[in-house]
Amino acid sequence: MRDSIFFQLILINFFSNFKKHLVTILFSTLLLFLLTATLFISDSIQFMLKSELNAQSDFVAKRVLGGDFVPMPKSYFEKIQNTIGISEANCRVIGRYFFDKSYWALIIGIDPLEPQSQKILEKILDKKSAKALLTQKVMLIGKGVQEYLQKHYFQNFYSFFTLKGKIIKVKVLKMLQGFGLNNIILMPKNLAREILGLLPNQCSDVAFNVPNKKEWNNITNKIEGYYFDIMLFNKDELLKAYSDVFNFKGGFFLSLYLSSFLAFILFLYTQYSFISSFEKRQIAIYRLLGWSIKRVLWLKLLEIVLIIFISFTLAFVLAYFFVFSLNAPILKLIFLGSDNLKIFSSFYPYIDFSTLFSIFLLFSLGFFTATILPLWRAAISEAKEVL
Amino acid sequence: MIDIQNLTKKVQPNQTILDNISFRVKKGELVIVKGVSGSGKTTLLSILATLDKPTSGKVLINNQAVHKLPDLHLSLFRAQHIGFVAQHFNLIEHLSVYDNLLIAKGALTNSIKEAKSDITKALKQANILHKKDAIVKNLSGGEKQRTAIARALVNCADILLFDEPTAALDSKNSQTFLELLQNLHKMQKTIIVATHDPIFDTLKAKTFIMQDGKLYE
Repeated sequence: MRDSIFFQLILINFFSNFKKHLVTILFSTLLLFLLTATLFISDSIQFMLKSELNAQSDFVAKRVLGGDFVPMPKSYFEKIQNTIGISEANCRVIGRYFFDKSYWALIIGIDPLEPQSQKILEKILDKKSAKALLTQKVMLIGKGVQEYLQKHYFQNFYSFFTLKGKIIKVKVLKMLQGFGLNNIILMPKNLAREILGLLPNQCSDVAFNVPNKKEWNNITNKIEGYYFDIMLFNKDELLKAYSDVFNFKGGFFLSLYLSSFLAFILFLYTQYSFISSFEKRQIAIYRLLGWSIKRVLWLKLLEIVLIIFISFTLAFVLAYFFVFSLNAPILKLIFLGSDNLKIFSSFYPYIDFSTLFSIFLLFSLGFFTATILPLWRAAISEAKEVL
Repeated sequence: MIDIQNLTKKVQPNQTILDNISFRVKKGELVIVKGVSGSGKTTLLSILATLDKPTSGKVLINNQAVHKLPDLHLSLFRAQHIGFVAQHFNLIEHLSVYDNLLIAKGALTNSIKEAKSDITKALKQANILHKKDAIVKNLSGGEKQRTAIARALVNCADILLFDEPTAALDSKNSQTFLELLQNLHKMQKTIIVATHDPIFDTLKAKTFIMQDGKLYE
């Protein structure tokens, strides 16, 4: 490429018209940066949500009385557990704990002796720490909880208020690492029961799997038939609920982007419709020296390709740095503002290249559409104009 | 080599620039077209340089009817056979001498390696090699002209056209140009010079007089 006169001349032309191109590059980089950053955030959230939901049970059964969720007797759990087609049923002790009016965390009770809990604990704890969970009042906390505790001068412990007004001091055993664990507190099940105000024979809800997806409807009907006060939520419904929140925000940004993109196309058209006498003279000299219209047009088009490439690369690098290194200030508040998404503290660097390629294609297409006519007009400039 | 038959150029129905001109120029011949400003010399040169088309008549160069060629072929023909040096040289001022020649070379080849040797050769022929990397706007009038001549020579054009070549030069540079012109003539280039400068009277050349769009030998 370096040995190509054509390539050299593209660079020479590019730098000759640098001032004009610089404005275009700045505008397109800004526009692409916003879009790419939005895309990175949305891809990352979608990826984290899917991973998070994949790790969860297929169904959660909750008891509803008086229009609100209430604790579920263990007998419900036993009945569900014994239903054919159901596996890995878990009597969960789970609930929100409000530290103050602006911050809450999700307390999840775990029992190191239960197979479901063992699976999780194996990944995050050594045997000694797992043993502490059996014998001591300890907890594992997410990054968001740790930040809250530090902000309020609690270093290695926190004193929880129980439903009965008692204070229980719980030591921090370890910090939880992982993108879905930001506002999570894991603690022994009995301790969680006490803090959340559950009796020993009660669960917050029951989570279970139904391996055969074709059976999901049957199982739902069967379990809802057992008890009039039971409500079932499946994973797909949860995913849809999350996606709805997320798509609303994504759609909002997309419409904003589309209107800015149209404005940008108009800007490009006017920018490139105005061919300076300097540029006209330059093109006429090319024609005088034996360059055909087709070749001049190619040269000009490749100059545009260079602008697109520079803008896209700049936007990509800036957006990557902004989202995954700086953790997307401002945009983060917009996208993770919802309660449903509070479990995420930062963005996992996941990029959907097919969407990125679509943006590149759409942007390039728009760019070419806006500039091809003015460029063609420039390319057919008569060489004799310079005589 | 150049055969012009009944050439007429009108810009408006009533405004005739060139009026039924016919002449022939043999290969390696030096031709001076003299005439006052506005007599139609530049229009004649631009038609010979294939930059403009006649209203009627024929333009045959190397037995090719260039006035009928489509853009792609005409551009290629221009790059291969015509070297044009305009009155104000038509160089891209903010680029170097080398880059200006590279643009001309780029019309025929894409290889820089190939271009480099031809550019050096052309710069030597025009006696401007020492200014190869200089930016054109920093050159003197004479140096700019030699750059334009080197550019006209870089593709080994066999026809060289000069439009008022001494108009922007002082007498010393004009004299140097005449010497250069004679050297080019010795290289068997076909040369046509459009001028009103009496300095060319000293040259041994075929001379035409242009007056009100008509050509007299």
